Amino acid sequence: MESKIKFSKLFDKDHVGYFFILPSLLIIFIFTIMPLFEAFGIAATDMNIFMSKWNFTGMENFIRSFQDERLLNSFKNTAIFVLFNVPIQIAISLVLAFWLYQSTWFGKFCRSVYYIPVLCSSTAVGIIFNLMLNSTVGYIPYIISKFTGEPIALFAEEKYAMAVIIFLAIWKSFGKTVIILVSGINNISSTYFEASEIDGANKFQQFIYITIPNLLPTLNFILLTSIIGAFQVFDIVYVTTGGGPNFTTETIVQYIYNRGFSAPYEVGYASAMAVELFIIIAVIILFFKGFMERKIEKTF
Amino acid sequence: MKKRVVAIVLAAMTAASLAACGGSGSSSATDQTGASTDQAEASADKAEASGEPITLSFWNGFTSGDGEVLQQIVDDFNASNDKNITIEMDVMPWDSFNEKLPAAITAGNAPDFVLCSSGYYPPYVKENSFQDVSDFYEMDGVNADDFEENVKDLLYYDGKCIGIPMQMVSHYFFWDKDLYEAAGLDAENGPSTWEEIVENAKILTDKSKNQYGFNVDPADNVVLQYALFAQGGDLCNADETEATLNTDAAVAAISSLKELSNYSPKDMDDNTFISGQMGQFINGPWIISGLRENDINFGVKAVPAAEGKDPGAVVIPVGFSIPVTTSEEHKQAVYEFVKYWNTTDNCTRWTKECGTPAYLKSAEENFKDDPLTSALSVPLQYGHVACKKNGVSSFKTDVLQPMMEAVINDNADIPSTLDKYNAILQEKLDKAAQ
Repeated sequence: MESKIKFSKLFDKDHVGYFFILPSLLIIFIFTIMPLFEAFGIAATDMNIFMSKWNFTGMENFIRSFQDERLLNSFKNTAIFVLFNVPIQIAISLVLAFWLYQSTWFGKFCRSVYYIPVLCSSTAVGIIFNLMLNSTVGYIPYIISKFTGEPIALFAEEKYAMAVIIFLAIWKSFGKTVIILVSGINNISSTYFEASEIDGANKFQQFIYITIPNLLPTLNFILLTSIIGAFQVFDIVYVTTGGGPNFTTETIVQYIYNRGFSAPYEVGYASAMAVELFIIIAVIILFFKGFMERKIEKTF
Repeated sequence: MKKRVVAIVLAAMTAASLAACGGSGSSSATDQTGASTDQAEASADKAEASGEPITLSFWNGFTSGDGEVLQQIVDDFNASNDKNITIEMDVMPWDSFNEKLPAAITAGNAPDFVLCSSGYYPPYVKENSFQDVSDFYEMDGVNADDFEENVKDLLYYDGKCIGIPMQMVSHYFFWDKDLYEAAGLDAENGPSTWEEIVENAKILTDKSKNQYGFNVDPADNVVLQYALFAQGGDLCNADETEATLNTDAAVAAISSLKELSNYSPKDMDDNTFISGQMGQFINGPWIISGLRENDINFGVKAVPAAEGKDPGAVVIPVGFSIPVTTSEEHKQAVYEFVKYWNTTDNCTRWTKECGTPAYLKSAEENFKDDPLTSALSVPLQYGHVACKKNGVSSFKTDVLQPMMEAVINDNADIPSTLDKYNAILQEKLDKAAQ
């Protein structure tokens, strides 16, 4: 009798919801949690992609990675990418969102146009930019050559390549950030803006003292997802510079991919580097999460 | 109450469908291996006994125009063969191919046969992933003597034949006849030595017109290898035990590339080569269709060597290979298709439609009045597979690319840079030999 009551409780309105999230939980467990733990395990072996004749090597892969100059270089490149990509993208998006949040035809038009690159595949974007920036056939180097006398190979020169990659990544994804921020701004009660107007605040003051503080929860979300995404940058580099010239644009994920999926297919070593990347992202995210949450608590 | 019942039914249906998916995907690799082998044997037995069809799965990375020609030839075979064999072809980019195939072989559900090229063979050979297919040449109706001897040998690894030729490509020297003529050079014959290439590159370069004399890309090891061959050098010795990047030949080769880099654009892709702004370059036969489409008046020949040296070339064989998971019956069925492929007609058709050199002597005969296509077959007679045991790609990003970047972009001292990277290459060769 008692067990019957417990069984029926499973389906009452307080518990039945768990059945609905069960499929998602199973998918997360099978495709995220299990591979994550498997990666931890594989990182402690010398396994290759054929998964034959592997040995337990303990911390050997991790020790090797600390002496791997190319890994350190890719960490440096990724850090540069994150440091420039995230703040510039958020700053540009914030300004544009504040400018375009109202439901006018101009605002809607601009938001739609900015969103188009988000819909394009990175491969297509990479191919188009490769063509546009090619020093022999591209029109941008051609225009530059009219001023400098010689065309500049933007993807092939060490001093420009990373800057162009950062520009491309921002161009490709800022439209999404603008849309999220616009919905955040629209959720701010209009009474704040009306009251500040009566008190004589100008647009800049409204932006600094009303929009930004009220957008902190949205900014928190954007900041965390942008940092994670920027640390994992791969596709745009893969289809444009391939990590060159001289490894100046090789990012961590690209290096991990190269080690794991090209000869000699060192899956164990690649997993060890993936674990290191996971730990770095986790630490940075926990730091920013704590920082932003304290800021939000103070504001509200 | 009604709502609760609906909710329970929906949840139960979702859980059941997931369980069903899990059930089919979670059976162990060993079970699958056993099952697939049993099934294959059973279906082959059945086919022989009752003439029922055999279906073969076929993976390859021919994703562009040549893939369409390949599909047509497969379709023709499916329609015409009298053994009831049907081939189902699965085309994917080579990157995906090399991510999926090792796991499929390990799990026992690999395709019946694949196409693989020399650049990808080494790890599969080390892991014994492919069957010995030397008995193909003894099959009824196969004329082993029709294959160029060197071509057959390229697919033998330590005495084991792991592939049967499907395509052979090499790299060639191309020159723009119009630019040559405008510069007063011999447009009909092109250069006959490496030294002439360097001299002509200087004459052909006019950066104010965005016009260049040669292609030197530090990230591309092809031109580097041809520069080494031209001076009688190579990356390492034939059995890949000794690095030879700091020899006199290598110093001469890299010095010439350093000079040629002054006459090269800094970035290049296929669009650069078909732009009509490249006086000379080294590339593969796949660029020919683009050159023709853009009405470039070009010449092509085997890459010349330096004065007094023998020419060298890299040949990239693509072979039909059969994973160890394929049953003997299916292997014999695969041979039927491979035999069909290696007929004079199909080899000629592939050469005509895809622009790659003919590798069957009988097919070469069909092109004796076509100097351009005949020129493509020349390096097949003396070319070799670059770093056959280890694959060049395993040295590319750690040795060759940084070495070339240091010399070309950072103006590093050539002999000491070559010493440094020769030591790194030696370390890698020693490690690979263990």
